[in-house]
Parts: sequence; structure tokens; C-alpha cells
Amino acid sequence: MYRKILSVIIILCSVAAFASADDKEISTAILPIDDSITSTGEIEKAGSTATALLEDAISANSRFFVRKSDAISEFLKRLELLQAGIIDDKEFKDDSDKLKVNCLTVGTLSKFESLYEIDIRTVNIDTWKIVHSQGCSRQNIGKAVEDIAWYYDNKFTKQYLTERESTLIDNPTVSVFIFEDYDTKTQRPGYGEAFSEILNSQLGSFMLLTTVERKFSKSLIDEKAFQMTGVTTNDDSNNNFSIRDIQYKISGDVRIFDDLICINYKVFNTADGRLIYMNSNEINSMKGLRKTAWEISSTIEDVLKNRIGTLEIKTKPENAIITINSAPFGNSPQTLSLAKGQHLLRVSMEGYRTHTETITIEPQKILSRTITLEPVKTLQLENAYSFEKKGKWDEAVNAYKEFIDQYYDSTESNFALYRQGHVQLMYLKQYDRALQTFQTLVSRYPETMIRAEGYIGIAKAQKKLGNDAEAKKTLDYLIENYGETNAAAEARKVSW
Amino acid sequence: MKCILNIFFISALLIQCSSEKKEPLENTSEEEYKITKNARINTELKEQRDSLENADLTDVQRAEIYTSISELNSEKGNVTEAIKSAQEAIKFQPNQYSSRFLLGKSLIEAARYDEAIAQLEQSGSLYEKYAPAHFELANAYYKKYRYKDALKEYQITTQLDKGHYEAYNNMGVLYSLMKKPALAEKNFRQSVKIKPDFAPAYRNLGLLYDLKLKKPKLAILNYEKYLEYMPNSPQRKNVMYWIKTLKEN
Repeated sequence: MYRKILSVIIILCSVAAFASADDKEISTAILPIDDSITSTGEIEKAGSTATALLEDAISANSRFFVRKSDAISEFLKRLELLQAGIIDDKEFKDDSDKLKVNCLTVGTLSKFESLYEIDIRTVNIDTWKIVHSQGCSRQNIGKAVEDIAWYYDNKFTKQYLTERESTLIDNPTVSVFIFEDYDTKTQRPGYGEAFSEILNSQLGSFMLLTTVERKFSKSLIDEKAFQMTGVTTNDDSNNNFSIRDIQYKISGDVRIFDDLICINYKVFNTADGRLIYMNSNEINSMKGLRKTAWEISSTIEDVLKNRIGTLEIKTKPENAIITINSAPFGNSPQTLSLAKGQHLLRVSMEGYRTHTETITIEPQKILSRTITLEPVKTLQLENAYSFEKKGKWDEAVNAYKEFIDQYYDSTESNFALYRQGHVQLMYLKQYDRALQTFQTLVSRYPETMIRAEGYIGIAKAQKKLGNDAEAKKTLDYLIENYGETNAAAEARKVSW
Repeated sequence: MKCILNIFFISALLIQCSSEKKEPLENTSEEEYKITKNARINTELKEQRDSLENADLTDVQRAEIYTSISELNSEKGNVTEAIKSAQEAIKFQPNQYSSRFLLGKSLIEAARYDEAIAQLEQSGSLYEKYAPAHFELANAYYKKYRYKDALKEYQITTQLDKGHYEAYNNMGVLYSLMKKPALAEKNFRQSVKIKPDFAPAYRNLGLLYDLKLKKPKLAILNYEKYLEYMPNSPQRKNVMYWIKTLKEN
């Protein structure tokens, strides 16, 4: 009886031992965990230790078939060439096919003081899109790998993999490009790259985003490009990302002060290189890196899924100044990524009436507007000026007022305000009204020459109203700040 | 039989232990990474903002405070706030070169290069000898691929500030792009002459010797200098690979 039981057990074990990879739910190749981000991690070969532990942990789960690093040495050599910029991704594609696995498992390890930051990602072997990721901050590599392996054991099933891969196509696709260590003088670089990897992992765990693994997306950039300083180097990342359907690129910097760490990040649309979102986070300890990465990932997901829409704006004539919510957005035509909700759109151009409207942006939708600008009827302004020349002061002031009411936002109204104030001051002797007019002019922040003339008008009106001290103060301000204008020259000659 | 049963029960016990839910992340208390309001730079920012409450401030004083706020935000890398405060400064004092410079610099970081150029040109016209404005204007031209204009502004920068090693480095890059390797070499060398531990210029020299001038020994030498001065660079692995490839060949 005992012999029969033993025989059955031996037969079952034999069958299991010879079971092919096809019988396993998930087949993966585990690449050596990269510990080169920080020299401390590299010196102690922490990556090798973590890789070995991970291989053992995942292999112990019968759901996985694991091709270990020694069986994929040729692939690893080619991957190294890809990442060093020696071969391109098209040449590399065949190497991936030969592995005969569903996915690759890659990872990074950094060490800061006594803390290990370990991040493991499993990616689709064809697209390098992350299907599963898990990261951990621990003081012990073994514990870190144990925690990560727990998720593989308990969450990463074939069903999960199938569901995850089905979502990859429709989601916005992102990749983390680079986080610079802003101040190279501190000789503390490594934080930026480590944060890039942590953020890569965190983004990879968000179901409503598709994240392309950095180990692949970095290889799309020419690593042998000359490096600018004080400004980001022009590169081919947008184009290379865009043609591979990586729609958004995330980059930023890590700035370290004695008592503060600032993490600044930006999201770019790779199709046109436009910055669509930027923000900053602050922490006071490296221990906050992972949590901050999670917060940033959450924000980015929200931005890309729920917060951003597009405005396409064209004008006739072109080259009009576009302002949205009082912030300049260049000249028309423009295609802009904007936050969802209502915005005050202002389109202005010299010689034309300023167009203002409220627009509503909806997430992930394009709003197209073509605006035909109405030319300013300068005849009205000319009529006002001709009244002035004929000495018809009240008619002139009324005509200027009418023009200003109709074309308040136009640059021509600055001239009208100045002339109105001048007539009120010099001819109608309406000093308080003149003061009000010039103050209105100055508050509009017109171009320098008119603004300076406005200040001299204010000073004269103040003087006429008996406010000598205020008049002097205005003249002093004018001379100090508009020293090269005609108005300032006039102010210097004043001997009140 | 007993042996088999023992193995069975031990296995069952191990399976039970491993399926208990784990808290994978080491708990990090809120206080450890929350924003510290007492950080020096945030304290300074608060002081500046509080001083704006004074109703007796003149336009000039307001502009100066907003300029300081913009400078501090620029130092932190908070581009949005740097732009906002620089714009406020300009409202109160349009002819202040420093606020236009800060605005221009921040606009570059916001990838709004045309507006940056407009502001920096204005800053330069208000104070011609302000080297940082010329440097940033050069950077903005570079981002717009206007390399000749960028080169001109970098040259002005180095005339005004002979120790501006970043400008020399950037000129070296431009000359490389313009296929003038001799001039590129001269400028990279000048950069490291001014600042002997300026690692990016060594990397650029290494690339120049490697790719353009075909002098592998000099390429290796400069790559090694780069690694010496930037031992934790994220590009370390690649540079080490390039050295290895050059040595093998």
C-alpha cells in the first residue's frame, strides 16, 4: 500500500518536472536588476542579490515559468547595445521574439544611506508597456523582495494579465523621460534618476494609464548627444516617442536644499512638443520620494484622463495675440491643451476690435474656434481729433469717450484716453476729470511712451489741484522709471 | 507514511502563512515628508508675501517684492509661481530689467520660447551689460533652433562675464552642431579651464573626440574625467560602456 502511494507521488513529481512552459500561466524572463543608479548600490552588487532572490521567489510559484538570466545572456548583451544607443529598437525586435516568453521582468535598485529603493516591473515583450509594477522602500533587500514577491503571488494571475493587457490600448500612453539633478555642483546626483524609476513604477501601477517602460523609451533617445547646460538639450525624444505612440512624456528636476527637496515635473504632448501640465511637490526627506511619486502619478492620471481638453484657435487675420485668463498664449493660429472648464479667451490685434468670449473645455475633446476680427473704425477717432484741432473741446471729449466705450479693449483706446485727458487738462481746465482719465490710462499698462505721457498728465493735474507733494512724487517716479522718454525729459525741466 | 504526512502538514502550514496579507511598504509617517514651512526658502517667501499687505507701498517697492518672490520661486523650480510673480512685478514697474529677465527665464522652462525671447530682449535693452539675460536669451534662441542668434548671445555673455563656463560649453555644443569641431573643442576646453571639475564639458569633449575628431585616446581620457567628477551620474553606465568599446577597438 505504501509502495503504491509512493509510486503515485513519484509519477506526479516526474510529470510536474517535465511540464513544459506552456502549462504555466505566465512565462517571463527576469533581467538583472539595474543597481547602477547609485554607486553605493552598485559597489555592493545589490542588484545581483535582489535578482537572485526575485528569481527564486517567483520561480517558487507554480503559476510562473521563469527564464533565468543565465539562459538569456545573448538577449542581455543585445539589450545593452540597445540602451547604449548602438542598435535601434527595430533591430532588437527579433531578439525579444527568440525568448519565447509572454513578458519581461525588469527592475532597478538605488541606495540612499541605509534605504534601498527597489522597483520591479513586468512588461509586454513586444510593446514594453508595463503590465504589472511594484516598488518598495526597505532597509533590507530580502524583505523588499519578499514584499514585492507577495504581489506576484497574490495579484499577478493570468486573468489579471489578460485584463490589464486589454486596457493598454485605449489608455493615454506615457513614459517617464528624465528627471535632472538640477544642481550638478552639489555632486549629489542620482536622486533624479532614482526618482524617475520610482515614478516609472508608480505610473505603471495605475490602471487608467498605459506606461511604457523607461528601459525601452530611454533607448529611443540618442545617448551620444552633446549636452547643453542651463537649458534642456534639444533632442529627438518627442518625435521618437510620438511615432511609437507614446503620447505623453514626463520630465522634470529634483532640487535639493539643506532642508527641502523640490520635485518639479512637466507633462509634454509628444505630437507637438507642447507643455500641457506642470506642477511642483515638496518634501523634506528622501523617505518621501515614493509617496510623492504616487501623488504625482495620481495627478498625472487625473490630468490626462479627466482634466485636459484641446482648443484649436484660428483668426482672420492671423497673428493675433491670444490671451487666456489674462495669461499670454502666443499668436494665432494655435492648438492648446487646456484644463477642463471655463476660460476667458481674449484675441487682440492692433487696428482691430478685441474679441472676448468665455469658452468651455471638455476633457479629451477638441474645441475649434475661428474668429474673424472686426477692424476698428478709426474714422471715429479721426473725427474726435478733428474736433480737437478745431477747438471744439466738449465735442472732442465726447467723441473720444464714445470711441473708448465702443473699443475699450483696443490699443487705439490708449491714444483716445491720452487725448481726452489732455483736452480736459489743458483746455477745459477739468483737472479732477483729467486726473481720473490719466489714472485710467496708466492702470491699463499701455506701452511705455504713452504710459510715461500719462504720468506727466497726472503730475500736471495734481499740481493744478494743489497737490504739490503728490505732483513731485509722480514726477520723480516718472524720471526714475521712464528716464529715456520725452515725458521724462519734460519732467526734468519742470521747476514747480 | 508519517514522513509524508509531516511533509503535507508542514506544506499546508507554509501555504497558510504566505497568504496572509502583508503591508509591503514601510510606513512613513506624515511628518517625515510633509512640506516644511520652516524651510529657509519657504520662510523667505512667506516674509515677502506678508510684506505686500502693507498698503503704503509704492509701485517700485511692490515691484521689488514681486521680483524677490519670483527669484525664490525660480530657485525652487516652481515655474508657474515664478511667472505669475514676475508678471506682477512688471505691472508695477515695466522698465525693471530683472523682472523681465526672471519672466523670460521662467518662460523658457514653461516651453514658451517666443514670449521668453520677447521678455529677454526687452531686459537686454533695459540693461545691456546684464550677462545672465544674454545667456538666457541665447538659451531661448537655441530652443527655437536659431543657432546663429544663440551663438551671438553666448559670445556677448562671455564678453561680459569671462568666467561663464556654461556659455563656453553651450557654444561648444553649437559649434559641434554647425560642424565646426575645432571651434567646438576650443570652447569645451575653455569651459573646463575656467571650471576644472565641470563634468558635462568633459563628456562633450569625450563625444567630440569619439565621434567627430576620431581621437579615441583623448575620448577615453575625457570620458574618464567625466566619471571622476560625476561618479553618481545617471549616464555613468553608458559612458563606461563607451570607454569599454573604445578600448576593445
